[in-house]
Amino acid sequence: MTEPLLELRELKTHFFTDDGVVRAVDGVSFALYAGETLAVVGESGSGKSVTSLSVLRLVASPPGRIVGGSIRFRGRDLLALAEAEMRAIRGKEISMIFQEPMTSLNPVYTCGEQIMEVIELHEGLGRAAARVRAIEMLRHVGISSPEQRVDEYPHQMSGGMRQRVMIAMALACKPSVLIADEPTTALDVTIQAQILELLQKLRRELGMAVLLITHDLGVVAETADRVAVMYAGQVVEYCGVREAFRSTRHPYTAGLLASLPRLGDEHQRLRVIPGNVPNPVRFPAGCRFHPRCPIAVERCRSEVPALRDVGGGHLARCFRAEEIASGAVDPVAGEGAPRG
Amino acid sequence: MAGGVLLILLYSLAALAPFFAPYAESDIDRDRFFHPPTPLHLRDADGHWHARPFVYGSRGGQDQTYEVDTSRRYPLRWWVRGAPYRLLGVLPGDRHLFGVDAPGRIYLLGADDAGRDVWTRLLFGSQVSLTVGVVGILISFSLGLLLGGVSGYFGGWVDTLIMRGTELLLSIPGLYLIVALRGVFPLDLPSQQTYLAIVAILAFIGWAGLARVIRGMVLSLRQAEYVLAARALGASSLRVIVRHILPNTMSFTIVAATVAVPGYILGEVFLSFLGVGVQPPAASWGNMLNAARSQRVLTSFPWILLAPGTAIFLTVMAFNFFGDGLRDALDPRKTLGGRG
Repeated sequence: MTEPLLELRELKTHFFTDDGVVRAVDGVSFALYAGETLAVVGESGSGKSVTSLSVLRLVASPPGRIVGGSIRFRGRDLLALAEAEMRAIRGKEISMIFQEPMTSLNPVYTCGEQIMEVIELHEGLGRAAARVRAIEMLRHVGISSPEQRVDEYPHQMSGGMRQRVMIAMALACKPSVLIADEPTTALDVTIQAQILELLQKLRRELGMAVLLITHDLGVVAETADRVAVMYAGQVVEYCGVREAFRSTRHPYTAGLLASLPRLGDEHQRLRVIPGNVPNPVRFPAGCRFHPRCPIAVERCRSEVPALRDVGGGHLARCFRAEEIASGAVDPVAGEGAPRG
Repeated sequence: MAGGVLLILLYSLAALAPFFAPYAESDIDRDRFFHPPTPLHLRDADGHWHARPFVYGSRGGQDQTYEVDTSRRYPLRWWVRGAPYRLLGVLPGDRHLFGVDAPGRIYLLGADDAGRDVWTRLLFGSQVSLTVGVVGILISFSLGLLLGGVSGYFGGWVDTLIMRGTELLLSIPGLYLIVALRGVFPLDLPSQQTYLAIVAILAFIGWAGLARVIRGMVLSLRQAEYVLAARALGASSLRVIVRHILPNTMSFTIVAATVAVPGYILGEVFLSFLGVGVQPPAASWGNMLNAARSQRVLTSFPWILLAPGTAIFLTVMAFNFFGDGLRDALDPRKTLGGRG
């Protein structure tokens, strides 16, 4: 394989609060290659958003701090850059869009002005040229009559349109990486599909890589090439999207998949993974998933499993990955009789 | 909005003071100390009507008591030639809106202790008293916005330092602080420099309160997603504060500034009243009030007190009404209702 565009190694971002050290991101590694979509999946509080903010070094400090690991982008360590160099990368090389299109645009400027700001910041274009580019970007993200829309304020637009404007801002300087932090969570379902389609279209056209942060497995199945499943600040499974859905090797991923409602299973109640995400100040000893794991054994309580290759580049953080693979244990129902 | 109209009127009068005033700023008449106001007449003592208003001459002058001399009529003349001046500091001219032929004198609001026309001095005094507020506000609000913005945005020790500074400033009683600071400058400054000193003093004590409020607003605004979005697209901290956060506090700031102007006007009045502000023969509303301190002036020559007193009262009320009007007009619950 070629060099990855963006590579995280053992990234650790901790928050130093009065209640103790919150290990929100605790040793996360993954790589993003040019042109692909990598989905980072996990429940609320699994550290996926903090991971994405860490890449751009936007974690609020204090209390947050990146305490270890490295983030390499095109061979450069982003953690070693000066703030000014980092600013030159944000928006130009690596861009980001957010969950809430309602609040991620500044209410006091027109959409055009906000897109133009990014262009002026990074490319030093004059206002007139930047305006032409802004209109072009708005057309690019599928906004009709962009010549008029460019002078409208965010409150005059719908949520889906605002998210399109946000995407236009993020892509105005043609970055090679786009981090999309739950870009469709706040939108209704039909708009979600449109925005995802748009992102895929732009990804192909601009040849950029997308780091898609989401908790929605449906979104993952539709758009991602590879998946990193996060739990309690760590990656627990890392594989191609097909393997994640067909041959998962980790009981947490299996539990997530089992909790999806299925057509034709109307008699069954929705499955849930018992218990809650552990308190990040006091993670359980051993495997962090063991208190909720249906197939946990004695070893899981004391020993920390490593993220290891369980066959063909499929990484999982479970002692029993091989048993799951061979079908010896059911990672959802557990050892004994299947529970209803 | 009546306040706004009155303010426009007051500021126009101040700007064009030399034209609206029949005399020069310190035109002394040694024969007419404390001359009472000369009423305008249309009908003379013999019962004849005149198309042109006129004033009577006066006799006496011993012990500042005057008798109306109905044998001498001085008709009011429009657009008369008089003391030369430079309008707004540049336009030369010698025309005055109205006047009477010498040796008659027109004292619409009476004369002061040096026989100077109170109406004239009121107009020239307004140049000082009305601008001190606006210039002071401009300086102190720039300071308050920037320091409050920086304090709220960065937090941590920067915040602590700036906020303890404002507390120190706010904990000292305002009027004593003004006087103490006045002590820093020599007492016998030329009037131009005294004016600057007053503005500097008032601005210096005025920014603290605003900085605290702005800090609070910035603390909440910096959590907004558009701030994170702006940073994710490569904006620097200063840019985020100045372009993205502070404009969102503008509706508050504009109202606060309008309501704060009277404080500055009263501050100048206070300093001049104590005799450490603008020094005669230069006029300001404060030193005009200062002339009305004694019992004798109050009882015998009440116009000395009433003229500047009324002017100050009207101005302060006008600013307060104008500020209230602005507050209603800019209230987001009224203008942005319905959405979100």
